[in-house]
Amino acid sequence: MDNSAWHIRSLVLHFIESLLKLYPSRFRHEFYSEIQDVILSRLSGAEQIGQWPCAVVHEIAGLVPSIIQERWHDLGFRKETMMIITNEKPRWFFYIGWVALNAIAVIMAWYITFEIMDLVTGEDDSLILILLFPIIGLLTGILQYILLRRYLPHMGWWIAATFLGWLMPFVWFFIFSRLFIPGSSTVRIVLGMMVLGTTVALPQWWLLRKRVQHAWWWVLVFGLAWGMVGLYDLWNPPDLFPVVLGFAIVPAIATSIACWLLLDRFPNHELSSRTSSR
Amino acid sequence: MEAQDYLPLTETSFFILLSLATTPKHGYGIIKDVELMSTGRVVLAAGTLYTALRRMLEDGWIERLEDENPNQESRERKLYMLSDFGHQIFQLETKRLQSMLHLTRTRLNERQ
Repeated sequence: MDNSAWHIRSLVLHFIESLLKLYPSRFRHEFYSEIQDVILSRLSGAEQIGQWPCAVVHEIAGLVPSIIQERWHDLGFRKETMMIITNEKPRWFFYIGWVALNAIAVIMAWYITFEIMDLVTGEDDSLILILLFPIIGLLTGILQYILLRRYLPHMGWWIAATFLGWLMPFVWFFIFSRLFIPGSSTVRIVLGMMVLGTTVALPQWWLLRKRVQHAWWWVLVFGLAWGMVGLYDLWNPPDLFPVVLGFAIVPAIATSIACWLLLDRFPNHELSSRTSSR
Repeated sequence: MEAQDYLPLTETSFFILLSLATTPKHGYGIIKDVELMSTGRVVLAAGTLYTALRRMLEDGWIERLEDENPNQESRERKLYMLSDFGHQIFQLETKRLQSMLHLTRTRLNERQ
């Protein structure tokens, strides 16, 4: 074999090695050395009858769909095993703690926002929205994470998801600000708030759907809770504090109920039995 | 799942089970055997074979054993053999194919 042919073969073998590393770790752990041996045996057999290039193409063509299939399979397996870990049920202090921490986060966010407003301008009200939503997102994300991590593993992204979720209404307010013009009808406010609540919940749902069954409850409950807060228009409270309290308490109670539905009401018996039968 | 639920088998699955029906084999042995049985028509790529073997192991069709007489060059050669459940599936598939063949022959004879 001349030098260039040897280089080409070495490159091809390296490429195949790299492809093999794309298999999910569980599969690699079980079959890596075997599959490598089989490919080498096949290629050396093909070399003897002058069909090395055909064998290489054939093996690579077989590896690609196999890797995709194994990746897909691994995704399903991880989803199932992750769901099993969530089977620990929260106790009463989780629900009470959830409501309390969420309420504290919103009230703290308002307080911080007004403190900053006083320092910065004291005049420009549009700054409230720019400050308030990201601060609420960050604080609620951190406080919810503190509680959730006991029941759902690998929830570090929860803080980012909550922060992102709370940036959404901020964007919505600017895009669809006409929904919230003073004097608009209660129905429009409630519907608008439901849309906002739904968008707040979407990034969190994205994380939850891999860990718990029926994660769509989360979005539904969030949307309804925000819609309920929108009813303040009927009551027409004399000052801002009752509205703030509504924002703090109503979604907190609603999401506490959602936690109960997701972590307690719908246990994953079916998934447990499926995995234990493997 | 019942054995019946896995039918009909794909050609790859059928050939792998057929190859393992007589004696346990290692991966490369299965590839060579399938190629030989199908007179070169079916050549399994290693990726295809091991994805099928992984699925069969998980579903309990086959079992995996250590090779007691490994080649000196080979590192960790594992042998694959049909489990009782795999035998059951293979028998059912064979019966299914036989009945289809019988039906086809009968129908073609009627025409002639």
